[in-house]
Amino acid sequence: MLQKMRDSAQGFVGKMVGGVIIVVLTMFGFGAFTAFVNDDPAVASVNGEDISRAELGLEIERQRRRILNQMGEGADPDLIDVVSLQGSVLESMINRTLLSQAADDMRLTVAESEVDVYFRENPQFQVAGQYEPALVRRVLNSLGHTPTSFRRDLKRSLRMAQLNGALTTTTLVTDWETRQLAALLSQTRDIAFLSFDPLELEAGIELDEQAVEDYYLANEADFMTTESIDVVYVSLTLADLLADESIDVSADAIQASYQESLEAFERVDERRASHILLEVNAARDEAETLGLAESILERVEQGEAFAELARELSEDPGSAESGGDLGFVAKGAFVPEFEAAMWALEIGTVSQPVRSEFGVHLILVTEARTPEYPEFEAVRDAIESTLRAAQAATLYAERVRRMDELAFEMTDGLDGLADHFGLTVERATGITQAGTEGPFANARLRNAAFSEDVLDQGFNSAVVDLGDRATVVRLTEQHLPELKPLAEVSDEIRAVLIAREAQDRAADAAHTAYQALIDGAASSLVAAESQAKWVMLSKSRRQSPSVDPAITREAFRLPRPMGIDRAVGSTRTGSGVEVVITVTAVKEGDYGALTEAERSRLRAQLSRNAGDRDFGSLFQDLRDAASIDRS
Amino acid sequence: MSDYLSDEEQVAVLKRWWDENGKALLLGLGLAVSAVVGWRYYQDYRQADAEAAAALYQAYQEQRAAEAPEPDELAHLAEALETDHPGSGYRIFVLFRQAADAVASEDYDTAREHLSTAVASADDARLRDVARIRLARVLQQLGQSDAAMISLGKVRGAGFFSEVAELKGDILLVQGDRDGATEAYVAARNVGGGAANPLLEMKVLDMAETPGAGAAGASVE
Repeated sequence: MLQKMRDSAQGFVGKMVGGVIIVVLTMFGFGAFTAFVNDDPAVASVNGEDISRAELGLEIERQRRRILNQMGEGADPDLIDVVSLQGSVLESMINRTLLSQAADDMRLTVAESEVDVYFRENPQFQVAGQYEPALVRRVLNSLGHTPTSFRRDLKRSLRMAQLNGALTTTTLVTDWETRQLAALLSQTRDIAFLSFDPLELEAGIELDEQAVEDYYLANEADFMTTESIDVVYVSLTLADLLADESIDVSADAIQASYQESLEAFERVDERRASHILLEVNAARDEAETLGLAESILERVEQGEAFAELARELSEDPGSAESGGDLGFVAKGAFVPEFEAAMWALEIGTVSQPVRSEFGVHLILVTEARTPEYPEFEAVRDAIESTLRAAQAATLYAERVRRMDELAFEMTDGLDGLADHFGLTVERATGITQAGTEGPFANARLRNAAFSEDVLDQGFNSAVVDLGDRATVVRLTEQHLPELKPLAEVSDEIRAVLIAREAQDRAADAAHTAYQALIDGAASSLVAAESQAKWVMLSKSRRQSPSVDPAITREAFRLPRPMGIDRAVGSTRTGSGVEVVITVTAVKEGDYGALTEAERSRLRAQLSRNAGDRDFGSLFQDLRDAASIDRS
Repeated sequence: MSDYLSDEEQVAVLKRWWDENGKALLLGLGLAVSAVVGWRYYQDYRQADAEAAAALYQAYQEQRAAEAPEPDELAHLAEALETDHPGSGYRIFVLFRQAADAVASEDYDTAREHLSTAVASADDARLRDVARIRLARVLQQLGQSDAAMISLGKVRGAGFFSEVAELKGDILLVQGDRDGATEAYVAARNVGGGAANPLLEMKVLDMAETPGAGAAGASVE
C-alpha cells in the first residue's frame, strides 16, 4: 500500500495532489485535517450530519436546567435522571436537525437583523417590558450558551418557525370540507338507555360472616399495620450556640475587624467600561475582524459617539443595546486580555483593538471611582453578629466532631451525651419509613433512625449533621407490622364484599337486558323484566353536558342501525353504573342550521387540523426518508 | 546529502527537480485555489440569493398584514419572487398564501391556478406534495373529483400516505361511495395511528353500519 502510494506520487497526478495539499494547508491550516480526526465522537448522524457527544451533553444540561427552572426554587437537582433524559433529548436534536435540513433544501434563511429583533423583543430578556442587557448574559449563561451558540440555535429555530408558520397559516378551508365536517361533528343520534346502579342494589345484599372471615384470611397482607419505631434523640443546634457563654466578641475585635475591612476595601478601585465586540467566526477571520475594528476606531477618533457605534455594531447581545456599557466592576471581572487593556486606559479614551476568546474588542473606560466605606457606628452591630456567628460555627463544628466520638463510645444510652453538652433527651414515637411530621420528616434523619446500627444492633446512630442541627438517635422500641384483628377491619371488608356483589348483580342485570335486546325482545318488555326505566334522549349530540360522557361515547361509537330498528351497546360509567344503550336513529349535522359562531369554530378546527396534518406529513416524510445512525 | 554538494550543484539539482515536477505542482496549486475560491463564491452566492428571497417574502408578509394592503405592491413582490427565485421555498409559501386568500374569498379558480403553479415550480419535493394535496382540495370544490384523485395519486412522499388516504376517503364519501371511503379511512388510520388523530378515528367509527350489534365493528377493524 505504502509502496503503491510512493510509486504514484512520482506520477503527474501524485504531484498535483501534492499541490492541492499545499493549498489546503496554507488556506485552512492543519485544522482542515483535524476535521477528519475523530476526537469528539458522534452519537448520531442524520443524513451525514453529525451530532457530537459534546453537543448532546450540552443540550442535556440545558434541558436539565430548564426542568429545574420550571420546578422552581429549592428543587432537588438529583431528582432529574440525566440518563433517562438522554434518549428524548437526542431524539429532539435529531428532529431539529431534520427540520433544519429541510429548511435548507427549501432555501430558507434568517437575516442577522431578524435575530437582533428577536433578542430585543424576547420577554425572557425583559424586565417589566423593557429590554435588559444585564439579563441577557445571565439567561444565556444559565442555559449554557455563548452568544454565538445561542444565535446559531436561534437561527435554526427561526427557520423552523418559518416553515411551520408558512404551512399552518395558509391552510385552505374549502366549502365542501366544512359541510362534511359539520355533518360529522354535529351529527345527532336518538338514544335510549337503561341504568343499573350498584349502589341501589347494595341494600338487598345479605353477607355470610364466613365470607368476611375467608376474605380476611385470604388477604392478610392488606390488613397489616405499618412498621414504626419509637426513639430518643439529642440535637445540638447552631442557634443555641450563638448564645453560648464561651463566645466572646470584644469591642477591640469589632474595631479590628472594621479596620481590616476598611483597609481591604480601600484597595478596591472600580472602573466602568463600555466595549464594542466583533466576533471572529466562519464568515470573518481574525485579520478581517481586526481591520473592521480599526475602521470603527477611526470613526471614534473622527468624533462619532462610542455608544452609538456600540449600539449599531457590537455583537455582544448583552451590552450593545446599552451602548456597550458593562457597568462598574473591580479588577478580575473579565478575561485577562480585556482586563489588562481596560485597567491601562486613561478615562475617556478608547483602546486599540484587543483580541480575546470572545473576539475583538474596542474598549472605552467611561468612569472610575473608589466607593467609600460606611462609618464604624453604622456597621458595628452587623460586624458583631458576623463575628459571633463565625465563632459559633467553629464551636458547632468542634462539638459535632466530639459528639460523633462520644455517640460511638457511650453505648448505654443518650443521657451521658446530653449531660456532656447540656442538651435534653427528646422522644419521638410512631415514626414510619414514610414519616412526614416533626424532625423525622427529614429523610436523612429518618434513614439514620432506620439504619441497621440503630434498628438491629440498638446502637446510637452516628451524628446526622444538617448544617445547623446535629442529631444522634437511639431506638427505644420497634413496632413490627402485625395483622390487625378481624373485628377492627370487618366493617371495611363487609363494605368491599357488598360493593363487589352489587357490581356483579348490576352487570348481570345489564347483560341480561343487553342479550334480550340483541335477540329482538321489545324494549318495553326488557325494561319491565329488568325492573329498569328507559331514559330517552332525542337528537343527542356528541357533546351533551347533561349526559354521562361514557354513555355519549358508546352511543356515538355504535354502528348506525341499518335495516333494523336499533343498534345495541353497553358501557360502565365512571361511577360504576352499568348501562345498556340503544341507538335508533342517526341524523347528519346540517351546516345550514349552524349559528355563525358554530360555523367559525368549525372552520377554525378544520384549518388547525389541516395545518397539523400538512406539517405532520412533511415531518413524517423527513423521518421516513432520512438515514439516521445512532451509535 | 547537500553537505557533499557545492552551491552550483545544489542549484542544478533544484532546477532539475523543478523541470520534472514544476508543471504538475503548479497545476495542482491552480486547481485547488480555484476549487476553494469557487466553493466559497458558490456558498456566498447561495446565501445572498436566499437572503434576497427571504427579504422579498418578509416584505410580502408585512404588506399583507398591513391594515390596508396594496394589491399592486403584493403583486409586484410576488412577481419579483417568481422572476428571481421561481423554485425557492419562499415563493411557494407566497403561492400558498395567495391560494388560501383566494379560497377565503371563494375564488376557487384562482386558488387552483396558484396551486398548479406551486406544483410545477417548487424545487423541494415535499412542498410539491403539499401543493398537490391542497390542489386536490380545491379541485374537489370545483367539482373535478377525478382530477382531485389524480393529483392525490401523484403525491410521492411516503410520509404523506395517511393524509392523502384520509382526503381520498373524504372525496369518496362526498361521491356517495361509503365502501370506498371506509377502506380509505381505515388505510389512513392504520398508517397514521388513530390516537394521534381523533378526527380520523371518528370518521372510521362513523362508517360502521350494521344490521345487528357486535358484528358491526368487524368490517372496519
